[in-house]
Amino acid sequence: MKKSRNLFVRAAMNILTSGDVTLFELGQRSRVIFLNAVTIAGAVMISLFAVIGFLSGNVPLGLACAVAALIVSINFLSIRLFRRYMLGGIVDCLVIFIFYYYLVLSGGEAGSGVLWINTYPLITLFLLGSVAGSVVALTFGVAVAVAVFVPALNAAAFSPLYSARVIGTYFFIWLFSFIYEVVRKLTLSRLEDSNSRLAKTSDALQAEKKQTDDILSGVQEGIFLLNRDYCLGDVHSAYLSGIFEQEDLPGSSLLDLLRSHLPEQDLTATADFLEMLFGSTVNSELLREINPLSEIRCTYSGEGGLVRGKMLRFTFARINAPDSPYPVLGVVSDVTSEYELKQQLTVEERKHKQSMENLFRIIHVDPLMMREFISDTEAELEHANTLMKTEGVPGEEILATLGTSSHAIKGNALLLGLDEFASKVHAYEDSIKEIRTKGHSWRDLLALTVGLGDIRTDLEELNTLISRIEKFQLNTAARASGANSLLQLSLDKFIRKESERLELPVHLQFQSDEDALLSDEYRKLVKDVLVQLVRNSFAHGIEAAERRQAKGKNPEASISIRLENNDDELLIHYRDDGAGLDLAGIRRRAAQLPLLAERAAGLNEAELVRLIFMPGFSTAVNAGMEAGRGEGMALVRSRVQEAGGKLALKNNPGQYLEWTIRLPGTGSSAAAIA
Amino acid sequence: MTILVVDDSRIMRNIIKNTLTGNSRYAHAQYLESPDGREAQRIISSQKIDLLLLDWNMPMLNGLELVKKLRADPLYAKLPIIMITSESAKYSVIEAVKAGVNDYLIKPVSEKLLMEKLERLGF
Repeated sequence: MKKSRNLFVRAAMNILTSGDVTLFELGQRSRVIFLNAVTIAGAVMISLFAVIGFLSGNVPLGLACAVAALIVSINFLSIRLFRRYMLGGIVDCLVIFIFYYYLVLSGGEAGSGVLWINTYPLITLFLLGSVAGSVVALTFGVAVAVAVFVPALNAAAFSPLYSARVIGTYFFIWLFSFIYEVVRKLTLSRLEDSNSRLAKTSDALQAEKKQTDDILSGVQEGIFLLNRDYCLGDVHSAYLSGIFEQEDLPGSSLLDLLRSHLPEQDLTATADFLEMLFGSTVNSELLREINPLSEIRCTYSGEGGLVRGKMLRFTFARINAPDSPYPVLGVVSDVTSEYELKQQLTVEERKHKQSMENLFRIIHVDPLMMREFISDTEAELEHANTLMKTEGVPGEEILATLGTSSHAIKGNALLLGLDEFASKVHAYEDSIKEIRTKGHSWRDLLALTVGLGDIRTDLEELNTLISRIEKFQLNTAARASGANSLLQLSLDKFIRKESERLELPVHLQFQSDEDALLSDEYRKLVKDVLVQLVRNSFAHGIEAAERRQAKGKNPEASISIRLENNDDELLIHYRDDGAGLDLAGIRRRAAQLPLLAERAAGLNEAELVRLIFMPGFSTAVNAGMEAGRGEGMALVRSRVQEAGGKLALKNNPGQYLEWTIRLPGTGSSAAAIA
Repeated sequence: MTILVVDDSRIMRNIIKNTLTGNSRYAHAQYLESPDGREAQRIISSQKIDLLLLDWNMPMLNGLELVKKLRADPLYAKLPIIMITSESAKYSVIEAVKAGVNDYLIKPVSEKLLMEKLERLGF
């Protein structure tokens, strides 16, 4: 039903628009519809008049009407065929002119013919336009006036007064039609004007929007607006989604977006800051200075549940438009790589500082000692590395070895004044200690392997430096003096340095038997052990000068070392005249350890002394460079035991601490021959 | 112009005062000193002060508490206050600004920054 009606409507429209689908302009389209409607209506009506004429016996009228109907019908067809709408309009107007004039002249039924003329101005104006239409209608009006005022032509025999009314009405209609047409045209042209203006503005707006869109999609920064609830506006740069790692940002609160990625304290600060930003009491410059998001580390979860850190830099600006719904503009950029670069630079600077320091030390230290340090350290590293690579070695053992090895390396580095190197190893020790306390995983061990590699790299750098320096340095004195004096030299240097650093005056007495020559194997062992003993003396034994004086001791403490070859044995005597072992302190510390707490009070002196060899046991509160890790004494014991040696300790509280270390004779070259 | 310098360290007070008197703009100002917040409060209530330079960590009454007390009193709501402190954490700065300080300086005091901040406040 609906379909057939649609079909009917479409057919009717097709007829009325002459099947012209190019008629888009509304004025032209309605003109054509009107033209066709008038033509069809005219053809039908004139045909009707023809029929009436013939039926009433008025043959001339019937004939005239038939001809007119034919002309109008042909006009309808030609309009459809040629689409010369103006021509069709002219033909229509001409036919209607003649037809209406005939109706006036003939008088029509009871003088009604003249009534038709009032439609003529409308038809001409619409079909021919305001100028031609009004001229034709005016001409027609004049012609009608002639017909109705000249009695011979006035077939209906209207009185002159009626004729005047007819003509008056006609010109009235003509005038109003004319005015209407003019106004319509003016309105139309104005409408067109404003339409084209609108189109232009819209084009400009489109172009502007395109530019804004391009900026927002291309800019490598997150740009957004904030309303008074700290919620993001509808428009933001595409980059912002990447920064927050979230789609659908408009309407989300900035605080919510940051919530799970910032520490609570920073979030509170941000909330306070935003409150001030949207308020008016704090000036913009100060706000910029106190912006807590000016460089902020945000954490995001990455692949496999790993946490990823991102450095973000936010800047905010108040928008100076009163009552703006979004009074703050925010810009955020991801400065992670910039930050990393900065950090890398710091590392590089530190490295540079280290090489400078190394260079300085190498120049001041005997190259032989440096070489010795390097080969010793390499040996330690190699030992640790082999252990790590060996399958089946328990992690705890690896960690223990790494602990003692790095401790020894650190001691030796300090001995030569390689502070940067030592502090690096110190940091490495820290991580070992941390892993040992919290329990280790394979990943931790891997990290330690990498750390070991870093130390090795530094060492190689040192080696290169030394090779360069050696070329320039004369070192005859040290070369002649051999291993023992080298040992004495380095210990003396170390003691002087520590003595200066800790402000504890200490004097070294070093004695060595002529034949107590150290084999390569023992040279390192003896040095490692002595270094640890010296460090222990500084950290725990030697009192401050005032205190020593108060006790009636020489304000300058003394450390004496004696190496002896005795019946296939290498004897090492070490003694410092410090305060001796702090047995009360050891007991106190023991009481704090979960395993010993209960027995601590009942431990006898020998048992307390044994505690100092326990790895990780220390009475120092904070681990510093000089002491505190509790590794030193453990190192001494393990090294001596590994070599099959024995260790004895004599503690005279308040007076001295004496160590005697016996090493089997294989280490000495003399014994090796025997 | 009367400037009240509040800091528990006499040395710090002198540094601030000398920094200011070294500049011709502030050389002829009248300087008052106080080693703690409570005495500062007493001075402020007994005479007219144009500018308050305030430390944070002080005995008796700390700087932040003094700012809060002053801002709660309509009489001192507009008194220009610059906090000069070693509290450098982001949230400390924000806490102080929130409490109502007009500006904030982190020790050690840079002469250039202090002058900038004073100028910004219209001194």
